[in-house]
Parts: sequence; structure tokens; C-alpha cells
Amino acid sequence: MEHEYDLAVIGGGIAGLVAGTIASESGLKTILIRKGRGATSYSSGAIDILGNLVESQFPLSPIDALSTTGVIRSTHPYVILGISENNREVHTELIVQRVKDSVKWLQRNLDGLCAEFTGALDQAMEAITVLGTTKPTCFVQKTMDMGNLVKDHDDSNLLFVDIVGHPDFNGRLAARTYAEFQRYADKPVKRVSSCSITITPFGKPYNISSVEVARHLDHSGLPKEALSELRKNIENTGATHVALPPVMGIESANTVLQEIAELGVHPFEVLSFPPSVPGMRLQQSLDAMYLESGGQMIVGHEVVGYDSADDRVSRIIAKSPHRKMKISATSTILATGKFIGGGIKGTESGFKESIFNLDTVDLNYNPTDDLRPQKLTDRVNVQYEGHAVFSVGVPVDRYFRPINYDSQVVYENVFAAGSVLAGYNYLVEKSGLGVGLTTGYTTGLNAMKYIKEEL
Amino acid sequence: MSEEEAYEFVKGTLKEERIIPYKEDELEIIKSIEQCINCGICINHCPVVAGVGVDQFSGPRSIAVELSRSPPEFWTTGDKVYLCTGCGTCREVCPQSVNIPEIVNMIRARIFEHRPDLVPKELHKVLETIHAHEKAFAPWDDPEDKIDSRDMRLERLGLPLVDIESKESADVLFYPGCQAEEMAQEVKEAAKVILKRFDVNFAVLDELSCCGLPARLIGDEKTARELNTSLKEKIKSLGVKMLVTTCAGCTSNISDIAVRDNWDIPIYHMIEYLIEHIGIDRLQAEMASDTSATKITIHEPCHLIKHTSRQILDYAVEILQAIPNVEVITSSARDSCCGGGGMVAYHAPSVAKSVVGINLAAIDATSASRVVTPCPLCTATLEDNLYRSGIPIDVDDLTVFIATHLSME
Ligand SMILES: Cc1cc2nc3c(=O)[nH]c(=O)nc-3n(C[C@H](O)[C@H](O)[C@H](O)COP(=O)(O)OP(=O)(O)OC[C@H]3O[C@@H](n4cnc5c(N)ncnc54)[C@H](O)[C@@H]3O)c2cc1C
Ligand code: SF4
Ligand code: SF4
Repeated sequence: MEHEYDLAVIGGGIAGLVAGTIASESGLKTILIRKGRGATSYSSGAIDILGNLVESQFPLSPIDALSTTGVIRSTHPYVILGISENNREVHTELIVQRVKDSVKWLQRNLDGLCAEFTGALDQAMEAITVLGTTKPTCFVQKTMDMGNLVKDHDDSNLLFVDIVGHPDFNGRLAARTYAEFQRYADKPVKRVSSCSITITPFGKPYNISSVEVARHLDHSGLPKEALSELRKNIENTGATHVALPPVMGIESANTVLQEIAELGVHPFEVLSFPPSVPGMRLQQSLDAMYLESGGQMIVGHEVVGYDSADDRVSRIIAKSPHRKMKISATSTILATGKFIGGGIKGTESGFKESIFNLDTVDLNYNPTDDLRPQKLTDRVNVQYEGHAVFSVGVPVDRYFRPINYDSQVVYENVFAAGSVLAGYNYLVEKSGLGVGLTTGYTTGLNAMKYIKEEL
Repeated sequence: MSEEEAYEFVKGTLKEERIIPYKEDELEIIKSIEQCINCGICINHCPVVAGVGVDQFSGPRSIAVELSRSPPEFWTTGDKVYLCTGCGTCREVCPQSVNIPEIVNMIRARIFEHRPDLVPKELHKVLETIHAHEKAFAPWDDPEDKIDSRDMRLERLGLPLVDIESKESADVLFYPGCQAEEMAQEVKEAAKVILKRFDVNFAVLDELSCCGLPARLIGDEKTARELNTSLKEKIKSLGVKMLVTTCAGCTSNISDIAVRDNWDIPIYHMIEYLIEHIGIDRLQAEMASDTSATKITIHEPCHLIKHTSRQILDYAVEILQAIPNVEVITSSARDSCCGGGGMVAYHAPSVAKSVVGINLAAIDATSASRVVTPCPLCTATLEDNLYRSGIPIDVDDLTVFIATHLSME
């Protein structure tokens, strides 16, 4: 059976879900096809916009960083956002405006969902991770808001709290690392300490996974004993802030934290490692947002083929374990991610985009089709610029349509968004979800214009 | 020693060393396991982990990176791998599509071959039944009782008994599967009612034999493959053009073996058959309009959504929405495993109960008065557990639900 849609989105990470929502909330008949979870599900709970620039060597606020990108590199997805319709030149204000628009849009859409986030574009944030290190970011889930920890550093007394038998977070280790770090900080906090509390989802204080704790708290709330252990430790240490593992609930973390706040402290979760509960919240919230917009989603299906005619992709073929689905759509958005999502494959013989076999390039749009992935990694140590392999992806035109090595648009009705794109290194820049969000938002609009024959 | 001789020699020692070489059709599964990047996303979604925790069931990541990596000592993993319900949730969320449910079957096959004493004894009992009767359930002692039970069920549902006059040159084989053949006979009869209503030229097997899924899940690969062959022969001798079943497990298993063993006919679940061959318009035209208003919620069987295609449940919704006076309400655990898979309920009922607990709570939280699901096994599992938990919500197999909503002829 043939299934017909205005728009087919391939990939269900942040880029695909945002693009799909934009299209479907404005009335387009949209289907999103996803083979599995991608990088969005791994993410730590922070939405990075632009933490550092590869070239700048020192941290900037996201807005300052965005304003600088255009000057530095013409191939960055943020820079492509800034190309004006009129004179085809890059305008910094346009970059900032488009990022602002998409952030505001997402903030509104996630309002009230478990991945609700907080932060501001004109302020760099140094969020604490499970290791006790910090990472520059821009927005964090509401449960990760550190309050006035850094601002009122002279009076801040931070207590790291871990859970007995939960191996994903060691409060003592994190506290030690964070304290060590304070020696170099502009604004060191006054005191750092740690303690443990007991939460036993299945009655045993050992071998507890993060998701178990989160589900248990969703279901039964914070146990009384844990709360009184916390109270005792807060009294003993005089803590003003409490750093918790990012497992305080999937749906109900805010409620759990509120209960802890009543002990007279500001509690917050630290950034997660995979398998990440905050990543799960984000994925779940984005899924809900897309479904709410009326879009159709088919998971467990991998796009394995396509038909094309006259420079257009006319049909894509998706495979589930035992069936095949034929989907014809006026336009297609490629949001398949990079190495984890599966959008880009690196093999012995080079890099390829995995569905349409599109040409791939690196940070500066140099071809990578016959480069062995090892060539783009540094075996000795990690340089400040990071491993070049992370910036490999597909090159695009100003509407985010993939182009080939001759700079020709490959298919006039295919747009690409998110980490399948080349030209930026999310890992060192700290820009992963930010690029996913803004390019998803923009390709959603571009595909819409294409479908309405306005592009 | 020549290379040939060396090869034969090594092959001869395999049994002693408790190694079973991989079959050609298993290599893809092995390769998928090698793709695991140890990310742990699967742990967050596995319903058995959600039900009992990683301490009791170490979860899909552990299966991918630990339990499947210990040949020939696979037997050491028996207490874990027999707790997997085979739901396929992990494979669906996995960024690398690692085929955990199938590797579990392969590990079980190796435990079964070399250390059958470590296979739960309840599963050996099931095998005894399968060996004796080629079905997963023992036939009725008195065939009259089976007929009485069937007639009672039909009477309760107000469904007629459909006789199949001739099965010469039938286009469609309707295959109800063991559960509907022996236990949930109303599902088999409901399907016949539907097929007859749409003038389908169909046949059923005189002697139904099992599709082999239970044997495969237990680890008795040899029996499973024998059953596969026997079923293929029966179907080939009928010369049908396609097979339609009402069971979720049969749909995915037969779809799998039909490709592997070159059956050369398509396999459909009843829902797919109705949408793709009968068409929603014809179906809608046959629906009764004078039924009382019902709020229902759907349970989505793993073997359809995660082992065959999620599209099938979109079809199911389409059908239900075409039935007058039926309102479909979504349960938050609609696609969560009911605990009835992987033969777990036979030997670890407490684990199965923890898994189904997630569904029960979610179903109870809806305002639906009925659960509808396109699988007789899920129907039985949910019905039993809702009843035991004192939740007054009925369960219907979807095929039965459709048949009982057809207009009078
Ligand atoms: C461990 C880790 C932690 C991170 N933490 C952060 C963080 O804290 N903050 C931040 O801002 N960024 C972070 N990032 C980066 C960020 O997560 C990614 O850049 C971003 O999520 C990419 O989103 P995406 O939608 O482009 O791709 P993905 O989220 O990878 O989604 C790709 C989707 O495409 C699907 N797909 C691929 N091929 C096919 C196909 N053929 N058919 C159907 N579907 C297909 C995949 O199944 C998947 O659903 C992190 C990344 C990693 C790996
Ligand atoms: S198949 Fe289901 S029960 Fe088995 S490991 Fe995967 S998610 Fe868990
Ligand atoms: S099986 Fe898949 S989801 Fe699970 S750890 Fe391995 S790669 Fe990750």
C-alpha cells in the first residue's frame, strides 16, 4: 500500500521532531519515521547553543559566540541561518534572531512537560556534571537550575548527595573534583561536601540503575527516610545548595525537588552521562510535542531506499522487522543524526550519508568520501579543536538542501537538519542540541515553503 | 593433516567443547550484537528491568555486552536470559538495532543443547506437550467438551458457527494458532465469521500444528525447525496464495520463517488483511450501527508492533474508528509488554506479574470499560491479571470485537 504525505521526516531526534512539529502544526500532513533513539536520548539535560568556538580559545556567552561565528566560518549551520533572502549575505543579527525565535518556540512548546528548560542566551552557564566538572552551556532542564550558587558564591555551601548502591553517581568524588576546581574559579563557592542517602526501588541498597530510581520516585515519591537523612546532613554541613544525581524522577522530578527545597536549600540535578534520564525526558517531551501537533510517527522503521525522478525524491521505503512501507511525500527532511543516529557512516573506504548516498565533507567543506575515519582523529591526545571526525556530515545550500561536490543541489525537495550536517563540531563547540533545534526549525519552515511553492 | 582433515577434526570436537556453530541465517544476528556501543539506552526502556530492576534481570545491555559473549559457558547466564520476555523494546530503541530478542533465543538454544538441566522445568513440560501433540496446548480429553466450550463461547458472544464447505482451491489459509485452536476458540470462530462475511475463499488446517515459536523461545531449536517444516508442507499441499492469522506471535514468527525457508506466500495478520485486501470502506459498510456506546482502550502486542510493524496497529485504530459508537482512548502503557512473552510466565510468574503491573495501572487510569487487543495470548494474559487485581475491565480479542460488531446479515 502506498502512503501519501506532504512531508516525510526521516529521524526522530531533536532536529526531526522540531521540523515535523513546525510543519504539522501549520496543517501539513506529516509523517516522521524513526529507526531507533539517537544522540538526543543520550544528551545530558543541557541544551547547548554555542559554548565555545573552536577558533576562539576562550568561553563566550552564546550570543557573543553566535555573533562571532559568521565572521569566522562560512560553513557553520548557524551561519547558513544568517544568509539573508535579499542579498545572500550573512547577517549576524539574522543568526541571533533565528536562534532566539527557535529557542522561544521550543520553550513555549515544552512548557509544562518534563523537559521544561530554563536559561538565557546572553548568559554563559557553567553547569556541573556527574563528575563534578563543569561544562559551558546555555539552557538546562528546570530541575538542573543551580539557582544563585555561583552568583552568591561567598555564601554558597554546596552538598553533593548520592544514593547508596547507585553506581552512576559518586557524590564524594564529584565533590572532590568540584572543590579542586574552585581553586581556579573566578567565584569559588564557600564550602563543598558530600553525603549519601538511601533509596531502594526494589528493596536492596545495591546494583541500582538510574532509571529504576527515577521510576520509583515518580511512583512513590521521595522516601521519608531519605528525606530525614538529607535533613540531618544539611543541618550538619550548613548546606545552602544540594547537588543531586539526575535521576529524581522522569515526570515528577520537579515535585521531588520541591520537597527537598522545603528543607531550606536550593536543590538541583547535575548533568547526566548516558544512559541518561534527562535525555529520556527530553526525547519523551519532544515526542509528545510532535504528536500534540497532529503529526504521525512510525517508530521501529528504518528508511532503506528511495525512488527519485527529475531531481526530486518521489518515494521513500521504510523497513520494519517484517514489513516494508512505501511513503510518497512532496518533500523530505533528512534528520538522521551523525554516527550515533546513523545518518553518517564511516567505513574503511570513507564517509557516506547512509540513505541517499550523499557526498560528505568536514568542518570546512572539504570532501571526506575517501578519507578513512582514523585520519580525522588524533590518536595521541585530544586537541582543543577536538577530533575532526565529529564535524563530518552533508554540505548544504542556503535552504539546507544537500549539495554535491560541485555545489549543485542534489534533490530540490530534500532538506537536511541536525547533526547529519557538516561544518560544525558540536563536541568542542558545545552546540549539539542548539544546532539540532535551530536547523530543525528552519528546515521545517523551508520544507513548508517548498510544498506551498513559495521557495 | 590436510586442511580438510583439520576442519573435520575440529568439527568433531565441537560437541565436546559445547560449541554449536552458527547457522547461515544466524550470522546477521551475531553481527548486530557486535554493533552494540554499550550506551545503555535499552535499559531505560526494558519492561522487565522496569518491573524487577537490574539486580534480578541485568537487562538488554548486559545481554549484548556480557551474556552473549561467553561461549561456550552460555549456561552460566541461564538465570538471566530466561527472564527476557522477548518483547523487542530494546531493539526498537537501540541506535544500532542490536537484535537482543533473537540473540536471547540463540543463547537459550545453546543452554538447551548442552545444559538442559538449567532450562526451567516448567518449560520442559511445555515441550512434552509440543512433542506429543505438535501444539503448545494439550488437546481436550473429550472432543465433545471442546465443542461444548466453543458453542458456549459463541452463544455468549452471539456469533454464528461458520461451516467451511470446501477448501479445494482456497486462496487464503486461515491459521488461528495454538491458543485460538484449543483455548480461545471464539477467536478462531470470529475470524471465520469475518472472512465469510467478505466472501473470502478460505480454508483451515484439518490438523493444526504449532508454528514453532514456543519451542524456539524455550531453546529447542530442533523441534522448532521440525515444526516449521511440517507446517510448510501442509501449507504447500493446500496451494493457498496467502496465510492470514489472528495471533500476534504467529504473525511475526511465520513472517520470519516464511522468508527464511522460502514459503513464497505473504503472511498477514487479520488486521492487515482487512485493510489491505478488504478495504476500510467495505468493512465500514458491514458494521452494525445500533450497538451501545463503548469506550475502549487498545493494547498493542509486542509481536505485532515491535516484531512485525507498528503500521499494523495504526490499521487497528483505523478499523476501530470505523465502528459506530466506539470511542478509542489511549492508555499510557498501550505498547508496553504484557509479560506474556518469552515463556516467562510459565516459570517466573512473579516476574511476569511485575511486568503486566505497568499495563494494569495504566489501563485502570483510563476511563475505558474494555481493552481490545489483536492477540489471543495478550487477551488471556490481560484478562487474567485484570481479574486477579479486581479491576472490572473486560478484554476482547480484536477479531472477536470486530465480528461482534458486524451488522446482522
Ligand atoms: C553522549 C552525548 C551527550 C550529549 N550531550 C549533549 C548535551 O548535553 N547538550 C547538547 O546540546 N548536546 C549534546 N549532545 C549532542 C546532541 O545530543 C546531538 O547533537 C543532537 O541530539 C543531534 O540531534 P539530531 O536530531 O540531529 O540526531 P539524533 O538525535 O541522533 O537523531 C537521529 C534520528 O534519526 C534516526 N535515523 C537515522 N537513520 C535512520 C533511517 N535510515 N531511518 C529512520 N530513522 C533513522 C535515528 O534513529 C534517530 O532517531 C550529546 C551527544 C552525545 C552523543
Ligand atoms: S526483549 Fe524486551 S524483555 Fe528482553 S531484554 Fe529486550 S526489552 Fe528487555
Ligand atoms: S544494545 Fe543498543 S541500546 Fe543497548 S547498550 Fe547496546 S547499543 Fe545501546
